[in-house]
Amino acid sequence: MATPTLRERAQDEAARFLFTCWDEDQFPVDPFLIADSLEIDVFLANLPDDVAGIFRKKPNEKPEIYIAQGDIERRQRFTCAHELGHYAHLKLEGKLEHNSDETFIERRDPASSLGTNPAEVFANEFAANLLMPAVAIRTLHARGMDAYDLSRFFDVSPTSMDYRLKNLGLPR
Amino acid sequence: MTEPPNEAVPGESAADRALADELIAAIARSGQPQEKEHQVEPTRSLTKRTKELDELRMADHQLDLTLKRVIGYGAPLALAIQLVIVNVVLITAIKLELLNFSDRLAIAWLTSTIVEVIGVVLVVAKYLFPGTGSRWNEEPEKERLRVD
Repeated sequence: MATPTLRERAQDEAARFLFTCWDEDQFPVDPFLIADSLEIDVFLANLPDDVAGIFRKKPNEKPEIYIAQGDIERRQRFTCAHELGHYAHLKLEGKLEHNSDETFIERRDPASSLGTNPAEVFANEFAANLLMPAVAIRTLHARGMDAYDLSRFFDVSPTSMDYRLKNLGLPR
Repeated sequence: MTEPPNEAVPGESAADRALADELIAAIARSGQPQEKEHQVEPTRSLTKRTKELDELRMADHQLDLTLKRVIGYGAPLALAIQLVIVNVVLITAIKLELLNFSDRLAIAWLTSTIVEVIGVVLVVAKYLFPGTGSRWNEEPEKERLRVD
């Protein structure tokens, strides 16, 4: 059997998180509640303009997520899901022990979303699959919902939904 | 887009770690951070029942139970009261020779009384308590999709 790619592993992890921490059939998915169920503290804070979020796990402390409080709700949801992606990735790699010291900063520069850093690629793919599961998107799209309706249903930005539909090979 | 290498990925650089520590320390000094409040519970569903629909269905079932209780006890009671009153009045009137019943009228009266009793019992038993149950908690055949 072929080894799953990084994106496939992110997709699997997102599906597993939805299965274990969420009702897979309830939308919109609330990443803050999922973080809560994983005992990750999520805070809104004043962050520099070029930083959307921070994931930090200090030795002997619970993981923490910091999200820019000036961002709109949808952006905060995506940032939280993205930081959960870092948590999932570290967990998958066995790097999230009690004494782990890991930090990720999510910057707003275009390079972050282009997909060169594997950790960021994993987190982005995880976030997209957590908030917009492929099965649900395909089901609703087949029923005639367009990108705008879908973005409202899943409470994500129309741009994120456009990108998601494009990745799934579905017309907008 | 090129697929990144499928390998273990370390956290970000030491510079990032130092920056994050500095930022978070600054946040703590300024009296922040503010814990994120949870959003409202999601209600939209692809296939499953929504909470509102469940509550509506439960309220409908509760009303159904109340009506069944009222009719189940009330109909036989009203019938019994009616029969007692009518029979007492009729028998008294006949005894006092205020009314004069022919045989055919008496038979018609007895027949209609029996039919009425059987009819009420049938209605109560058959329509209020159907053999298959009311199926109030079953999903409608058509799959729901609620999008507001």
